[in-house]
Amino acid sequence: MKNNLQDFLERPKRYDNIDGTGEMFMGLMMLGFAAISFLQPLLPRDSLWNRGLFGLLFMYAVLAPFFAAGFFLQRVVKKHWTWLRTGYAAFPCDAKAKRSGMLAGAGLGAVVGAVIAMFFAIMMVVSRHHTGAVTMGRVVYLGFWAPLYAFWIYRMSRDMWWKWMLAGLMAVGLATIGWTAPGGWLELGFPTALFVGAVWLASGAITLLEYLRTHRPPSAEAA
Amino acid sequence: MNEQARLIAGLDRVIHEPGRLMIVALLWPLKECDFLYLLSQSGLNKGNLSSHLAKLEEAGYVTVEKTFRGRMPQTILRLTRAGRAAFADYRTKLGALTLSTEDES
Repeated sequence: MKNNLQDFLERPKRYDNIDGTGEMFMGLMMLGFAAISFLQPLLPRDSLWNRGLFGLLFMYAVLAPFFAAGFFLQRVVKKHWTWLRTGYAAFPCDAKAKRSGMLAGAGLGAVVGAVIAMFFAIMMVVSRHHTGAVTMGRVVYLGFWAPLYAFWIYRMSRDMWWKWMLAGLMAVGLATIGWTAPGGWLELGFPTALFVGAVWLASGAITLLEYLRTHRPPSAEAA
Repeated sequence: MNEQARLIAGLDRVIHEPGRLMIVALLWPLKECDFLYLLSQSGLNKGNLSSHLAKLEEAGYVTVEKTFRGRMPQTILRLTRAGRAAFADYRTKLGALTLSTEDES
């Protein structure tokens, strides 16, 4: 009974991605990172936008349209399709929970960011002296994305078998990128982010199409 | 009266009914939702859902607000403070009951 209760308590979280908008948002953000990886090498080497705070501003400026597109896509799909078909649900339960959720998210983000930054810094230093470290960096970098997507599927839509196949496809695609793309992990940034973003976006789009196919809006509400 | 019987007797009967327990559990993580959401997530029919919601409203656990989305009628539902407290208490008691059952077996 406790397990059934837990399932009901976790449903709203899964419901948030019932229309695939969560995945499309993630896909668009990854495409934003691909855009950064593509544009940054095009900047002159001594450009102001390659340094410190301006470098960060450049990243934010490139990411902003992708973030806005994802945000508005979510709003439009939910307002015009999802809420009419399977109902409206608003999060979170109160301001205190929202604050603690945001604080926990920011804390987790900071820790993950620090770990990734440390990893990149160590790899940059080590790879100058050991070519084996370049290979290890590539493997770790490429090996990160498919498990992340698999974790998302497990949390959000584990009953959709085709998404597990897509996770397998992502792993094969990343292995192919690793096998064929030249350079260290820095050069892998563009093809990897582009591929992962495209898969994530496609996964969301298929979820949305499937949702629209299987859910029709009721004629009128009866309460 | 032994410990288990006391715990069972102490369970909130309004929430303990499976249909209403499902509704309260679905409302718990949310700020608010509409009737259609509960209908799609609970699997209850409209009549059952309406009657359970009426009981929860009567107990002061849920607020029901009739409104419109465009020209479509919409019923917004929220768990009240009393409803949240009752559900938290119910979960605590259910947890204690499960533990005491596991201890005896």
